[in-house]
Order: sequence, then C-alpha cells, then structure tokens
Amino acid sequence: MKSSGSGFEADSRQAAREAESFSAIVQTLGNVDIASLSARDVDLVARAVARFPSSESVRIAFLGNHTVEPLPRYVTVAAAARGLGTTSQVGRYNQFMQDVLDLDAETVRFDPQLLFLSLSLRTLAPRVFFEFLALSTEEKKRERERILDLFRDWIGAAKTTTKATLLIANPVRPIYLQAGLADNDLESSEAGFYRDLDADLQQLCRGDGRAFLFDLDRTLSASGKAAGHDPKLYYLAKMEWSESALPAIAHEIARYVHALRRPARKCLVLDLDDTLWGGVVGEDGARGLKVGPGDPVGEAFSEIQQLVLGYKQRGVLLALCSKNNESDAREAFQERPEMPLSWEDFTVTEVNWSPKHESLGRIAESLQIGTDALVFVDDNPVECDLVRNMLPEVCTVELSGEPSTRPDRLRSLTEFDQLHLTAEDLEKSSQYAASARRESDRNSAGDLQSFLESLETTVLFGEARPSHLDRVHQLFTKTNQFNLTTQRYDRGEVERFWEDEKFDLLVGRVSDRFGDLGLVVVCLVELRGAEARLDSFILSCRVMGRGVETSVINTLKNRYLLDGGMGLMTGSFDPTSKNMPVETLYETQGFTLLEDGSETGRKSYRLLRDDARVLPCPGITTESIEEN
Amino acid sequence: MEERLHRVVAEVLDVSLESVTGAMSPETVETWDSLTHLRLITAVEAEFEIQLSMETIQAIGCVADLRANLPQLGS
Repeated sequence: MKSSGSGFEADSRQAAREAESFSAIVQTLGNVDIASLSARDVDLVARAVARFPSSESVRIAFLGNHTVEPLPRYVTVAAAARGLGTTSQVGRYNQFMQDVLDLDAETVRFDPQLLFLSLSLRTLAPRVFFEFLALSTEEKKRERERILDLFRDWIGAAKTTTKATLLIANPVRPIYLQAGLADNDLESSEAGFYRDLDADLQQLCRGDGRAFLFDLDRTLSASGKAAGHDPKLYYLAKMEWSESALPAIAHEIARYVHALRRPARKCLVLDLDDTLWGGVVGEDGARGLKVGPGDPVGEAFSEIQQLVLGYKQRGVLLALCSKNNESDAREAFQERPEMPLSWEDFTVTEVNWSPKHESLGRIAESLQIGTDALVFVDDNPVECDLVRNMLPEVCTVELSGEPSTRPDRLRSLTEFDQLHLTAEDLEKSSQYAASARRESDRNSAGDLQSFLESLETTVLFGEARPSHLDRVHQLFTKTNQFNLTTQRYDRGEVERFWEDEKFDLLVGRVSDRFGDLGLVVVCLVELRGAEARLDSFILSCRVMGRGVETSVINTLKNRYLLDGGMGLMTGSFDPTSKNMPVETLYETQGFTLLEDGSETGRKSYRLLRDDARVLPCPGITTESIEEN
Repeated sequence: MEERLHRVVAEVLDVSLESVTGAMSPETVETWDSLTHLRLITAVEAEFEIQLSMETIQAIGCVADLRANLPQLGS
C-alpha cells in the first residue's frame, strides 16, 4: 500500500518525462497519491504512457451525452499506478447510441474491452431535471421507463457490436431538490425518482455478466459532489465534471480495469499485536488488550476486526501470521469473547517465532495458492519492509499510526475486487476448511491410494450452461497452476465460445465426502473436422492431486475418439512461471509430443484414435452434469 | 510572472518553453483545440489562484490575451 505521499516533485516529473519504458513510469507513480496530482501532472504522465503503446494495454472507450474528454487521461494515470497500461477512445459527442449501433463507428472499430457510458439527465430527461414538479405521477413513471428502455437498448447494441465489458454510470442525484424540504412529502418524490431509477438499472445489469452499474453517484459523493461539478466548465464546454471529481471517477474505473486483468487476491494475512488489537498479548495479557467497547482505541480495533470478518464473508480466506506463543494468542481469543473474530475464523495460523516471510510461504503452501494471492497486514514497519523485500509479490499493507485512521485504510483495499461473487466465493471459507481437513486426513492415511479412494470423489462433467458462465470466466481469469495454455478469455469471449457450435465448452463440478467443491473444471475444445483441439484445460487448485484430470481426459477420449469417432485429439502446453505442475500432463495421459517450440517453450501434442486408452483413476466416479 | 505563465502554456500545449510567445494562438499551435483551451484556462487559474469570467475566457485568443488578464501583470 502506498504511503500517503503527496503530488509530484520536480524529479518525479523529470523521470516521468524521460521514462524509457512503461514500467519506469509506473515506478515514478510508486509513492504518489494519485488524487493529489495536478491536472498538468496528469497530462504529463498520460502523455508519457501514450509513448509506449502495447497490445497488452486495455482498450477503453468513453461515451456520454456530455463532454467526457478530460476523463481518459485520469484513467490512464490511475491504471498506470496499478501497473496496467490502457489506451482510450472517446465517442462522438452525444452519439452514444450511434457509436454502438454503427459497425463502422470508430468506437466499434476500436474494439474496446471496457466501454464506459455516462448520461446526464440534464439532456437525457430535461423535464425531470428542470420541471420535475410539473410532471404527474404517471408522467414521472413514463419518464423513468423511457430512460430505462434507452439504457436497455444501449446495452443490447453494445453487447452485439463489441466484446466489451460495459460500465453504465447511474444518473447523479441532485444536491438541491426542486420541491426543497417538501420533496419527502410528495407522492412520487424527486429523490425517490433517482432511487427507483438506480434500482431499475441495477436490476438491468445484475446477472448480465457483461454490463455493470457504475455507481457514479457514490463515487462523486466520496470526492465531494458540490465541487465535482463546475458550472463554468459546463456552460463553456458541456463538461459535467470538474478536475476535483476526475481522480475519484478514474480510480473507480481503474478498479474495474484491474479486476478485468488481474486475478483477485485470495487470502488476507494478519498480524495480531497492535494490528488486530491494541497492545502485546505476551506482555499485557489477554485482559490488558485494547479491543472492544468502552475505550476509544479498543473501539477502533474492534471495527478493524469487524472489517476483517466482512472480508471473510465475501470469500476472502483469513490467516494469522504473528510472532507470539500460540498458547498466548489462543488464550486472547478465548478470554475476550467480545472480540468479533474468533480463532476458528482463520483457515491457517502461523503463530510462532519464524521470520514472517517464511510463515507467509507456509500459509500459501497449505492453502495451495501462490504467495502473489496474499495480502499481508502488519503494524510493524520492519516486518513490512522485510516482507516487501523477500516477497515483493505479496501485497504488504502497513497498518500503523493513529488507530482511528486504520479502519478506513483497511476498508479501501481493492486487492480483493472481483466483478462477481459466485456462490463458490460465498461458501469458500467452509470449502477450504474442509480442504484443510482433507489434508490432515492425507497425513494420517499414509497410503495415498487408499486415501484417494476414501475421498469418494465424484465428478459431474458435461456441457456448460448459461448459469455457469460467470464461474467459467472466473476460472479463466484466476487459475494459474493447473492451466495448460493460460488463455485469459474475457466474459464476452466465453459467451461466444458457448454459443459457437465449433466449440465445446465443458465444465466439471466436483464433490467428495467432505463436501461440495463447486465448479472447478473447464475445458474448451475446438472442433476442427476430425480433430478435437483442446484449447484450454483448467482445474482449480482445490482439486489438484487426486486424479480428477485423468477422469476428465478419459471422458474427453470417450466423447471425441472412442465413442465420438473423431480421428485425433490435439493440445498444447504453454509454460508460464506458475503452470509447471501440468508440464507433463499430456505425456501421462498417453499423448505423443510433436514438437518443442524452441522460443515460446510451447509443446504440442497429439493423440490418434487408435492410441487412445482410458486410464485408471481409482476412487473417482464420473457422471454427466446434465442429469444433475 | 511571465515565465510562470509561459511554463504553464508550454506544459499544457506540450511545446518547449523557449517556443512560447505572446502571439501563440489556436491558429498557430496544432495542439490548441477548444478542449485544450479550457485546460489551459483552468491550469492558469490554478497556477495564479484566480477565477476568470466566462466572457473573458471566450475573449482570450492568444497567450498575450492570457497575460493581459492576469491581474498582477495587467499594466
């Protein structure tokens, strides 16, 4: 996490201007609070970023019925601060509909990956904006429906002509209501009009998978709604947002860019003393710790614990990493039941005297995730420095200083941002707890074979259904280890594969006697005449190491070769820093290596129908997902 | 003062400081379009902590006009 730095100093300005790579620019933003950059410095950084166009850059198009031109530069900077490159395109003024209907429109041709739409009611519904009190209740309702229809049409068009994820800003609620205080007393109030419209819009986007309600009203509230609109800029150039609003809007958009491009982190690792409670349990004793009501510092730590619990409820795993005697730490949780957190809330605990980077390594290992999926929170700058140096991929948050400032810093973490929370996420903590139990079973079972059989694993496998696509997309985005080709398809592409008859999008749901592990397998197969090409094969790390992959490949062999009568299956392995666990998968499944790509490291494989054999996978039952 | 103004102009228009002259205008500078004009105005307002009126902003046609509207440099 960035220290609360201030704007650009002359040397950072110079460095940004002379940067010779995108990462050099990212470096100059390292200690800068983006919100404090002047408009001129934003220009300077955005210009510097533009000097390094890359195919990796996220393409963002901005549309609206007001002037949105100043925004892209701010988004470029906010995304760069997260290490993400962007290129942008601005639609024609007030032609937001034409720009997504016309296949020749520059916006469509730009092939945006993110499409941002902001419509002001000032021009979209002037009667609502200026003459609300002259409208009858019925007319107000019709206006709302008309506005909603327009959004619906726009979403439909944009989804047809682009592959983009859509961000639809909600109309901003006015500060001054036309009926003044009496608005509350109206049968259909102006404030209520915006609330209802918001709810309708959310309903429209919810479950869509590609369209998201961008809460502009909340975003502007955070930065100050009154200062966020400068009438002078509006009258002169139809700009709805002043420079004071732009960093906040850009920050929010950058969160989406981040969520689209980078997997969310999975585990929040916390220190104990002076992080989750005030004081040192080994010295002050459980009774002496400041946490809980009755003491202002205790109240702050209590709120920190509540927030941590909130992260757990949204699917983030919790772990402890504290230098203490474990018995002291356990006693604190026992003796202070008024604390929101309990010892059992933590899936993994490393409470001992090991160096923290080693503890973090063990935490990641026992959860079977990478250390780059960890967020580490500690009050001690020395520990934080150590972890930053030893494990730079960990997101280290130094939560120190005045306790009253800490809850908001914890609250504003965006490292766990995800576009969807699936049922799997909301149940994840319990799934991982079951997984930890499985691990301890493995330790005691001794014989791996009989352990695997005792798990009674069931794989339900078959063609994906529409309700699976969010999770499928999530697996494409998040899975690093068991991922043969690491193709990061976006939500729109996933939907296209699902619709395309030349592709089979297959999924697997796994359960065992400890519980349901959820949808954890994805296969994307391209049908090319007599050839079935395995484009992607992804397995969540939750079910690695128990033969599920063999069961899936067996099913594929049957589906395409042995029963399906096709001539051959092909596939490739593209090495990354993470997917070594599957380097020899094809060999073990009986495929023949065709070539070693010398430069990319890609290995291509083939399996002819005559060579296809179903391999044994003890303890696994496979069923068709359709029947369930 | 004048140098401060010129530095702002150079940064916003993305031109070298030495090339800034009073005669510079949207007609002579390629990057000076209507939106850049407003960015220039807001940057000058921020730098000198002033607020220019809409009429003034519309009347400003070149760097010399800007300079004339900075109260500290007026005469």
